[in-house]
Amino acid sequence: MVIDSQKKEEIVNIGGEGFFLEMLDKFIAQAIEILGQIRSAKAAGNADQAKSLLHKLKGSSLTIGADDFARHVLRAYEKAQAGVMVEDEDLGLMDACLVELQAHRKTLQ
Amino acid sequence: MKSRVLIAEDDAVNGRLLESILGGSEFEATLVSSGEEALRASKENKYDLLVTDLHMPGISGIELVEKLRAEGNPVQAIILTGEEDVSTVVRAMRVGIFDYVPKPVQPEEFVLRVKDAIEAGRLVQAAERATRDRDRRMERQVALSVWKEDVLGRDRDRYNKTLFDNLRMSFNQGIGFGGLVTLPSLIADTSKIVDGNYLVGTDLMDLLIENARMAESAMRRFEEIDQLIRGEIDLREASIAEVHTLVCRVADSLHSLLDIKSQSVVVSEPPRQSGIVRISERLLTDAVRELLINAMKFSKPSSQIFVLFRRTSSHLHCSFVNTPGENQFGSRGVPEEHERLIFEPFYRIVRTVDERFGTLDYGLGLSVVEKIIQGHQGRIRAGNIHDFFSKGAEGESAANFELQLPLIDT
Repeated sequence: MVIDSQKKEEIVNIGGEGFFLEMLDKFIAQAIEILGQIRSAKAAGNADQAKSLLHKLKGSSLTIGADDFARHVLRAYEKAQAGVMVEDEDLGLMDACLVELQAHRKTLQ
Repeated sequence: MKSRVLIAEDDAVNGRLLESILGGSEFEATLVSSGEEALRASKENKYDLLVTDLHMPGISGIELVEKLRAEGNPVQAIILTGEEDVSTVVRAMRVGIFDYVPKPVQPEEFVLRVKDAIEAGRLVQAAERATRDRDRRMERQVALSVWKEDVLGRDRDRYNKTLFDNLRMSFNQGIGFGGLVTLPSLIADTSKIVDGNYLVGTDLMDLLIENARMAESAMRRFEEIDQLIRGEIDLREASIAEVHTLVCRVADSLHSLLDIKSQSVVVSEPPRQSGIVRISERLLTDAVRELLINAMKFSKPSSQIFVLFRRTSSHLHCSFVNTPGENQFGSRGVPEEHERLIFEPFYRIVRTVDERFGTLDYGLGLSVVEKIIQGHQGRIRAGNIHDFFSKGAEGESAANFELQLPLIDT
């Protein structure tokens, strides 16, 4: 499931289908930007910055109900809390989920 | 009126969701994306609630609330946190954050917490307002006491001198007690003794009788005041219209006195809203008569005396407005520092007596009026107002004696 159906329903109930699509677009754009920032932080060896960005990504992915994506973010965040820098593998999995989300978005009007 | 909520959330997705959840009919939500923006917005507008993310670049949610508190902004706050870290929540509570909401927010629960926080904030503010009002009332009370102390203390010599002066003048001047003291000597000095009896002229005897009658009036006045102070007044319910009629009747009965200085009384229409007060018709008539005569004595010739009625939710207000001539202090109307003192017994604002009005002029009239109104559970106050009725845009200083009678629930 790309998007948790219950979460989607919650958002639709708040502002309708259009509002859900607005939120999804916002999330995808923000996630792309944050993933880029995490990669920059990783390249700079700034683990704290990477952890903070992962925290932000965790929050928004749970808000929109992007559960698969959130699961990978959460794992990376837990590692970051243990002092481990985010790994390329985790970032790759997040990228894949994001592509899947973008494809899903195209099926929605 | 909608409750105003400021949302500080750097996460655009979450921020937009919160803004939308609170975007219904009950709230007016404003979304900002940083603590710095929230501080600016809080300076520009007043909010009922701040909803802030805990983690934001720059100023964190807790720091934001700390800064607002340091600026004296008591806005109620909710913090959004993904942390299960108890110590963070405890720290948030210590800086005065009302509640925390874990992310992702559950819309219905979030709205309930927002409502709770706003309600709690209003209760806190109401309690603070009540405390401030009480403090202000106490300050005013203290200020009044200090003022009285100051006026009476500063002018104690003058006040005492004036009081005794007035007393002496009241008993000596014109007719009354002064006459009773001086007339027997006059009789002794000027009358013949025939067969062991004084032979007193009719003129002298008439004067003696007149003085005795005035002295008797004064004694009755003292008795009335004594009864007013000690006893309860027998009150009956009366409509505002009846009080209005009573005032009109008293004004009509004073035509001969109004002619002395070619003055007139203008009584306003009664208030449109009805109401019931409790009055003693006899005593209220006395009070209104006294106030009107007082206004006549102190008003300029050919001036108008206005009686204005006003009804508030709790009282019937009746203002006696007159245009005074210059007083002994070189000003017009009631000198500010005398606004209370003029109700003191024997306190006379002028030293001269106009006998044409036939009043005792012992300086007791306003004291009696005050006691009568107090006996009606009402209040009377004196002061000056600017009257634009008679002099157009320039206006003119006018004295205003306003009595307030409490309305009763029917």
